[in-house]
Amino acid sequence: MLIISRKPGESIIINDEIEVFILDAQKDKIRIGVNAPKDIKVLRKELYDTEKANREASQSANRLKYKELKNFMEVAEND
Amino acid sequence: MVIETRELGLVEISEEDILNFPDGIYGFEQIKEYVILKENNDDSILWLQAVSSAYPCFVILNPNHFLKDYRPELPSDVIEKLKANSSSELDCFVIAVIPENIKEMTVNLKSPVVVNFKSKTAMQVILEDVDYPIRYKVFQTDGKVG
Repeated sequence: MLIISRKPGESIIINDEIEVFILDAQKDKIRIGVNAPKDIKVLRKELYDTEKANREASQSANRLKYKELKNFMEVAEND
Repeated sequence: MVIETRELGLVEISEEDILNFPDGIYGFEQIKEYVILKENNDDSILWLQAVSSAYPCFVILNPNHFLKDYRPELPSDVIEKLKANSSSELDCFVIAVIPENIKEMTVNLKSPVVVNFKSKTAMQVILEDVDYPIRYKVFQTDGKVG
């Protein structure tokens, strides 16, 4: 992984077209600004991961598994 | 009215059962209406089914069934958006990813589905400032739930 030190107000350029600014840095929070072309999707990682989990969830939900899960939960709870 | 579901065939629902998700669910933003379906009146494992089409549908769980202490603090803008006065009026569910091996099932504790059954409004909330996992394994290695 490339590691670069930056101060608030400074930025980095990715691939000639994406600029990432450090706006403000506090002890446990850093504000970042991203200037990118419209077709580049910029997401917070947890949002990206939630979308991915949701898609998997919608594909994995079926009746058979629901029933299997129900039985499994009951067994686990009675242990 | 009768709706087409993905896993339960045609199901009769009442207009009052419909929950409005103003922002949709992440990855499915265009779908705004869902119903929560129960089987045999089971409150622990439920279906979250789109109203307008059979797809998408999700298995959702009542997290307090296996994590008694899971009661995330909700930001005031969420409470306001769901037309509630306090978080005590809201119910939380978590979306399950169920792989072939059921023991590997995970639920998203970071982004619960929060429902106000009174106002029929709901949303998936990504909790800030808390470290809940997006893929929490419900069945721990000892085979117990929790």
